[in-house]
Amino acid sequence: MSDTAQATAKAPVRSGASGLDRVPPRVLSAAVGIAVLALWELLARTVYAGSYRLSPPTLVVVDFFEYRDLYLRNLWHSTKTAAWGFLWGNLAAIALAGVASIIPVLRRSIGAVALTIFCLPFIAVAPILRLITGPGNGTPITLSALAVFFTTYVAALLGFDTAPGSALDVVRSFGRGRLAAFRRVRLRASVPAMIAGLQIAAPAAFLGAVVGEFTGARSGLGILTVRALGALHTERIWVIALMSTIVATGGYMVIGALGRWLCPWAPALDVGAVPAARQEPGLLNRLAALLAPIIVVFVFWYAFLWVFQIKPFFAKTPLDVWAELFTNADAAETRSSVFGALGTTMWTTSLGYVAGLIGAVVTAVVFVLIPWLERALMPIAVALRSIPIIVTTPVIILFVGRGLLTTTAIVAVMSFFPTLVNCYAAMNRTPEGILDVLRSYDAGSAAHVRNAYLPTAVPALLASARIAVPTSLLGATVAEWLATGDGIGAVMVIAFTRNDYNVLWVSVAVLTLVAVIGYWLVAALELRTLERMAPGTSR
Amino acid sequence: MAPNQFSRRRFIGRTAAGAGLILGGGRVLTACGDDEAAAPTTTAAPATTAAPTTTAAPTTTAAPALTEANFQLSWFDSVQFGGSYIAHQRGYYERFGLDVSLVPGGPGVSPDAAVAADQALVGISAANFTGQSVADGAPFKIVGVAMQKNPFVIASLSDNPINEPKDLEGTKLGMAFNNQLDLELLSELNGVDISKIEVITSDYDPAPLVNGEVDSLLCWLTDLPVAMTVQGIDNTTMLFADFGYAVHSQTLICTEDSLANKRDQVIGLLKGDILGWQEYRTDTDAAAQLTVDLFPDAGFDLEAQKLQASEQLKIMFSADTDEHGFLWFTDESVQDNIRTLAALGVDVTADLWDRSLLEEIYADGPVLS
Repeated sequence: MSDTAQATAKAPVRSGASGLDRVPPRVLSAAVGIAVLALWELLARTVYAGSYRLSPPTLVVVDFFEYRDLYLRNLWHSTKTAAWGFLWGNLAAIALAGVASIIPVLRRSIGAVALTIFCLPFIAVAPILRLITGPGNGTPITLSALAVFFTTYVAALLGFDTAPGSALDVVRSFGRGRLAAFRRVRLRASVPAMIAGLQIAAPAAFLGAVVGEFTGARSGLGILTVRALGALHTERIWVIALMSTIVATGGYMVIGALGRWLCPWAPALDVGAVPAARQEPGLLNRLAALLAPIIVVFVFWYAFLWVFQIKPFFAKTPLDVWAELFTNADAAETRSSVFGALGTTMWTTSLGYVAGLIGAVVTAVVFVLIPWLERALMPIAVALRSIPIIVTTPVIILFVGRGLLTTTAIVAVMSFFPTLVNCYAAMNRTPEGILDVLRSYDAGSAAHVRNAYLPTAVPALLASARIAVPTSLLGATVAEWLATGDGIGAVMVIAFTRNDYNVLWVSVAVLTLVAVIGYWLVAALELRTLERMAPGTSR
Repeated sequence: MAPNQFSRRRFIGRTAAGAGLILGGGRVLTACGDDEAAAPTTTAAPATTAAPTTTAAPTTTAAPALTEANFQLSWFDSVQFGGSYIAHQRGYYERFGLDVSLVPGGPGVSPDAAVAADQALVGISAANFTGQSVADGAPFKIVGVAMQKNPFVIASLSDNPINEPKDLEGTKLGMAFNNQLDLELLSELNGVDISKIEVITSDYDPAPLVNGEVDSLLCWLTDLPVAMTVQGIDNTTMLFADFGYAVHSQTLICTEDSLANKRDQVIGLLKGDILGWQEYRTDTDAAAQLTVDLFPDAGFDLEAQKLQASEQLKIMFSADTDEHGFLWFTDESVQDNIRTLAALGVDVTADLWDRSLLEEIYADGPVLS
């Protein structure tokens, strides 16, 4: 068992390489792709004809070529913004991971700030950033940088940590310190992990850039989507969704290829499947582990307000948030509106979250059992997991309409694809020994699934589930904003349009806290499970 | 590059020589240049050939130094702000010593916040938002009202029309979630039982109405109905303003501090804007064309912009503005607004409005020249 858990730390995403290789995977994928397109064309021309919902692929292609310059200019604008955010966010993340690696005492605090940033609800942060950066491209770039920060930080730190002990020993035996070890060994050893982090950062940066455009831009795909919705330009919505998918997936693949070229010896790795950090034993340590990050986050909060000198009308301190929740005259009203909405959000989000995870495991099992299906569909799944939520939301609205189901569907989609990819990769690495035993007993598929595949996938499932907590809440708030008008996403938007900064900050604080706690809970579950299943493998 | 820089890239020293000066580069600039060459008032043919700084030197020395000012628009660019684009294009703001940047808004931009944070000298808001901000302690004044009538409408398909609020009972209405209070007020003012209206969240998108998922949409007179008409879908609109809902929209706001210390700049901006809108009114098609040319990345449909531009006249100009001038607001309309806002849960007094700037601007009559 310990083999498998160990292996999850370097989960290869193998898109379609199993035993039966009669039909090349590309051909299968192409066949499935063509079938999907044909069905799409048929539906669009019959059931959905004249509905302003589903455009036939042929018309989408025609529209792209008709307005090619327009599309490419806007695509270029969004991509450029995302690229700057990608650069700055990753540089900051790698630098801080370096600091955390060299000065281990700071690790927990830096990690807490990174996680908090990851859990911030974008849609409420964007207008606050706009007040600091002013009009222009500052907000989109910053959002884009924030979007990539956490995952790259985790990946880089993992890379630094997994440096070979023998090489570190050599540095130590020469009497050199941590800095030399970092420079000579850890930095180089971290390249594969870092590449894996950058891979998932590419689509995230794109999402940040597109959300950022809503704070007032003249170009970009996000704005073009909103305009197209209002003008009944259905083809345009589909063109934008497809272009975004291609660019985000393209970024993912190019960086992956770069990684394979830079370090061909290293196995592919998925940061979504990195186990949670282990806790130190002892009550005092646990207390410190709990309090230090909280204190650091509060210090960071005050520092943020102080550094940017935000006017008190907009800037709310932790004390203001406390007062708005508990001591102000309208505290009861704030509590009921914020927590009532939070309840709605958590309910729809959990439904989608659980549905996405279960769907992912089931699909992974089906893929393991029916390899040709995997070879045909997995490349599509890998592509779909990098679609930016903001451009898919209109497409999902087209299908499921606008209601609580929309939020659930979007959250399910967001948690489904990464989990599927990670779980399948883990199942695919089930140790031959276990399978041999099952085969020798002539066990059927069900027994294989129960005794080999599912247990093997547990660590990957838990790691994916942990990362999916903040991303699900992010997806939910975006859906609530753009589609359903329910939940905490709507409360934040109303607070913002009415310039009610107290409620806005309260919502941000509460939602971030919920995401962090959710993350911690899954991490705790993960640690417990790993300790039981494979003692000593968690970091 | 940063979108807000587009105005700084060029300014026209119209008062001095009528020669254009263009700084920087980029697509927006090219569009401006082309249009400008077509403009009758300028002798700026050479300006399109990227204006070497040397020829411009006499212009800049002759003209007084321009003060930079941001004008925060309330939404993405469109002909909704056509008069301001004209003012910018023709150099009307420069006439009054200002280098104005027209800053686009969007779902993530609060013009009130931008003004309060000193990121804009003047912003475009609406009386309900500004009233709320002021109630929360922000130091704003409304100094001009561009939309005399509130643009909210109930839009329906013409074969199943909603002609008056009472028709809403027993139907499905699609609207953005933050319009709940507005619907409640409209219902209350017109004796409609709101519990008989089934509300479905929908925003920015006419498709639910066209597809028959809802019977009507709460939207602006100038956005979704225009899109439907351009697509050949017959629709009926019912203005909130015709049924007792009095909320000034597209209001120009600035801080009390600016009123006290930058009064000349605010007046200059208003004057430039008024000149632009006066011209807009005489030829809305030209305003639409200008908008399409200025913002090639928006992918505008010229017909839609033209229709929006002319529809907008209905709510921006009235007998009051003919009598007193564009942006004017009467004491009576202020009182109506105070009553409506109170019903919306926003308590304001007439102090929210300050007409002294307009009174000064229109001292010689309702048309600025």
